[in-house]
Amino acid sequence: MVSDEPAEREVLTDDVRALLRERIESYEELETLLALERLRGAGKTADELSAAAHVGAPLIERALRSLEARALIERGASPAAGSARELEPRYFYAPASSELDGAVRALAKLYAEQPIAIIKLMSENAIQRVRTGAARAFADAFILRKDKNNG
Amino acid sequence: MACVVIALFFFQYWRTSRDRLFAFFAVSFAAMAVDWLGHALIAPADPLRAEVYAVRLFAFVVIIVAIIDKNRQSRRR
Amino acid sequence: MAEAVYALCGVTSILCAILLLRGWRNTRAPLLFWASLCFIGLAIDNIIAFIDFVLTPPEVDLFWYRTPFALAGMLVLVYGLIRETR
Repeated sequence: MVSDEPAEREVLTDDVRALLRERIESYEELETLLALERLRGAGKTADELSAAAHVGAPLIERALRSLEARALIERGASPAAGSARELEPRYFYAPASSELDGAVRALAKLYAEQPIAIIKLMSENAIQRVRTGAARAFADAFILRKDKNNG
Repeated sequence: MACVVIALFFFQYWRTSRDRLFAFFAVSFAAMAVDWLGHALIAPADPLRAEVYAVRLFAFVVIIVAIIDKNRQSRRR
Repeated sequence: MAEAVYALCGVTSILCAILLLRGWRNTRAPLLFWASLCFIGLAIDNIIAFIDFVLTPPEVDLFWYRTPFALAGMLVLVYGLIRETR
C-alpha cells in the first residue's frame, strides 16, 4: 500500500482536491453532481436524479440544495408537459466557471478509475471539518453584529 | 497551570485555522498564567504587586483587541 | 488603580461569556458552552477581587474565595477543549 500512495497523490490534482474540500461534503452530493454532469444540458427533477444517482429522496433534496449553494448546479422550474402537477423544479449541471467544470470532469474521471482514493479523501475532509467546526463556532461567536440570516 | 494548557490549545487552533483571534486568546491566557504565577510567588507586600495587575490588564486588553480585530475583519469581508 | 483593572477584566469576562453563550445558542457547539462557563468563572473572580479592593478592609484578602471560581472555570474549559479532540 505504501508504494501506491505517491501515485495516488499525483493523480489527485489540486483542483480536484479543492473541489472536494470546499464544495462537496457528502457522498450523496458527489453522486448527485456526477449524475448531473453525465446528463449535461438535460434538466432533471429530484425524483429522476434520485433514481439516477441511487440516492434516497430526503437526502437528495439536501444534496441538491448544497450543490446549488456552492455554484455547481442550477435550479429552474419547467412545467411537465400535460401534467396536472405543480411546476416541479428541474436541476441542471451549471458550474460557475470553466475551471470548476474542468475540476468536475477530472473528478468524474478519477472517481470512475479510483473511487477508493476519492472516498478516502472525502472522509479525511469530513474529519477535518468536524475538528475545525468547534473552533470556527468559537471564533464566530465574537462577531458582534451578525448581518447574516440569524440575527 | 490550567491557563497554560488552555493557551496551548488556542495556539494549536491558531496554527490550524490561521484565525488571528486564537493567537490573541493564546497570548491572553499565557499572560493570565503569568499573572497567577506572579500572585503565587509575590507576597502581598505592595510594590511588585502593581506589575502583576499590569499583566492581568494586558491579558484582558488583548482579548478586547481580539474582539475588535475580529469584527473589523468580518466587516471587511 | 487595581480596582479599575479588576473592573475592566470583570466586564470583559462578562462580555465574552455573553458572546459565547449566544454563539452556543446558535450553533449548539459544546466548546462554546464550556468556554462561557470559564469566562463566567473569571468574571466572578474579577468581581470578587473588585469588591475585595473597594469594599473590604485591607486585612481581608478574598484571594482564596475568588480563585476557586477562576480555577473551576479554567478546568471546565480544559475539559471542553479535550473533549473536542475526541
